[in-house]
Amino acid sequence: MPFMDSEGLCISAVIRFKKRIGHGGMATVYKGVQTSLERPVALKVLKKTLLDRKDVKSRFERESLIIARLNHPNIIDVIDRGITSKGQPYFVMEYVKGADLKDLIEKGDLKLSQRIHIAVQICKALAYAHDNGVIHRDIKPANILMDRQNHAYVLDFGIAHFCEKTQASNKNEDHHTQVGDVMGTAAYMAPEIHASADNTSVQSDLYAFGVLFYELVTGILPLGRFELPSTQNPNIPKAIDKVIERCLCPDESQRPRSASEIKNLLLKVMHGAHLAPAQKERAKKTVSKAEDKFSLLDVIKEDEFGAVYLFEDKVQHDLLVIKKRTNSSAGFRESKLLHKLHHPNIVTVKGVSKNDRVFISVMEYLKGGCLQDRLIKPFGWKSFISIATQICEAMDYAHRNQIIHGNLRPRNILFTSKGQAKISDFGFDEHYGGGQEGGNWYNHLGEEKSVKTDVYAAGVLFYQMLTASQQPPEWQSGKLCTNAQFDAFPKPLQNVIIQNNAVESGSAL
Amino acid sequence: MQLNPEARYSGFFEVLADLKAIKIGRKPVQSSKQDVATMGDGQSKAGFPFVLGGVVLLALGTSVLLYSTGNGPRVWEYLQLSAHDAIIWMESLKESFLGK
Repeated sequence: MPFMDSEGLCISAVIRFKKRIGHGGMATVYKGVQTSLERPVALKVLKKTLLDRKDVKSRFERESLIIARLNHPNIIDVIDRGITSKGQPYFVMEYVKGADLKDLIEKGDLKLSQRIHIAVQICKALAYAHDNGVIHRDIKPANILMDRQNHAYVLDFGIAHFCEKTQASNKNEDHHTQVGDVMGTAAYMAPEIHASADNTSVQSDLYAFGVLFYELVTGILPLGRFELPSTQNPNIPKAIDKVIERCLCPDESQRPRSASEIKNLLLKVMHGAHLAPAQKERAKKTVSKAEDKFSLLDVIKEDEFGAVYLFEDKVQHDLLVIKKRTNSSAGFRESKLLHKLHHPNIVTVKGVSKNDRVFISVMEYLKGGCLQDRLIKPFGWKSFISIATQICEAMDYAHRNQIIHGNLRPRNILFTSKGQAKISDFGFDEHYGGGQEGGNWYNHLGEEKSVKTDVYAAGVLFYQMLTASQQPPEWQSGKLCTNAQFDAFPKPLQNVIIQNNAVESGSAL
Repeated sequence: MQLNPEARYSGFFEVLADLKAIKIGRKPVQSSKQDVATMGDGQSKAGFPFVLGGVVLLALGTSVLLYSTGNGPRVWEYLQLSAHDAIIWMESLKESFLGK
């Protein structure tokens, strides 16, 4: 049976209506069931209708697709999106059982370390979205969902934008109500947004985060001339005061540059207080010989193949990534060679060690995240050619030094805070899970690792950068299957991608 | 699927050479006109305000110079005649194209 809301709007044949679970100024939220998978979903139907204006509709099509593609552990998954028969935009999202942060703050049961950890998770989500050009526009505790394990999920990325745009084109509706709906509570609005909604930026999201963080650690809003959190609670470190003061700076140029910068500052304050004792113990074993030199800040990844830790050098105060690979020394030779070499587009290897069971490499930490996290929309020409050139220069340098990567993929292309690309994990084993990276797209014929397999992997990577395709390139009868988007590329660029990817006999330009 | 790595670039130095040959701007080396429009990223328009500004300044400077030497009215006369000549020339061009 098609999903019908209370007003009889047909939404989707694959969602079964259960009940209305939320109702706000901007949207109504329903609980439903995705019938194909029999799993619960949340369905958010925005109150504003997209009028018959083609530009507004096409903006929704474009921007909601980007929102739906956001894929981060601290962002609620958008499963589907569309427009109801009555012109209302809707989003089908994963259903998470828990409470919103507003309720948790009001209850006041959270420990200080838990509160800071929640802020770190929000920063991770914001950093990821901002790197993809998505501004939240409505950060507030009611938009943070907490599950029972204290895992934070940020809701409604960019959704407020559609209401703003719709409002702008709907002069007949009550303007005051609209403004209140769009902006959420005025207390979270950056001063520049009061002047104009067009001033929305990464920095206005960080202002809203500053208000939320203040409320999270003190329980009250920073209204008027507010006291610093440590004045109200001496247990709150001064470093937290500084972070909040900077976020709440009226001058947006004085605020932190990125959510990633705030996250790293908070991790330094926490010194791993948010981690489980077992995680800390495993990390401690990894750096047993250099325990005095490094302080554990975070566990980036842990699986059956090893772990990736974020440490701080206690003397230099630099951040370092320490990778532990268990039962495999693949990449040891390459890391050892790279430790002696230097290239601006290759991640600096600061140290390598190995025993019978474990191989450890110490690398510089890069604040800009990885390419995988930036593939939700196509790259522009200039940035594509700049990044592709940097990748090629690094790979050419590595090959001239007899180093084959063998595992080139978006996760291994990292960025500095200034957007400079750096390649990591030369020679490391391939490990594939399900999801987007299921199957080895980057060496799908299983060729023996060589210069040419690296060239092929780069070709797939370039194709993804230019098309934001969630699928690898396909070939038929010696020709690359292309789409209108690819065909619109300039011929020289098409040729670069085709010649990088050539796999079949007869593949030609 | 038959494997043919021979059709592929033999190394990244070749990819680099091709990437560097792609010019972002007014005159790409091998692109068609449509490609140029796509790749321009607005760069070709970037110099327009400066050119326009330069022309306006030059015209103003020339006018001031001519009027200060008392030749202003003669210049207007010359401009009028030139415009008239240009219109006649364009009309004859149009006729030659239309075969009239």
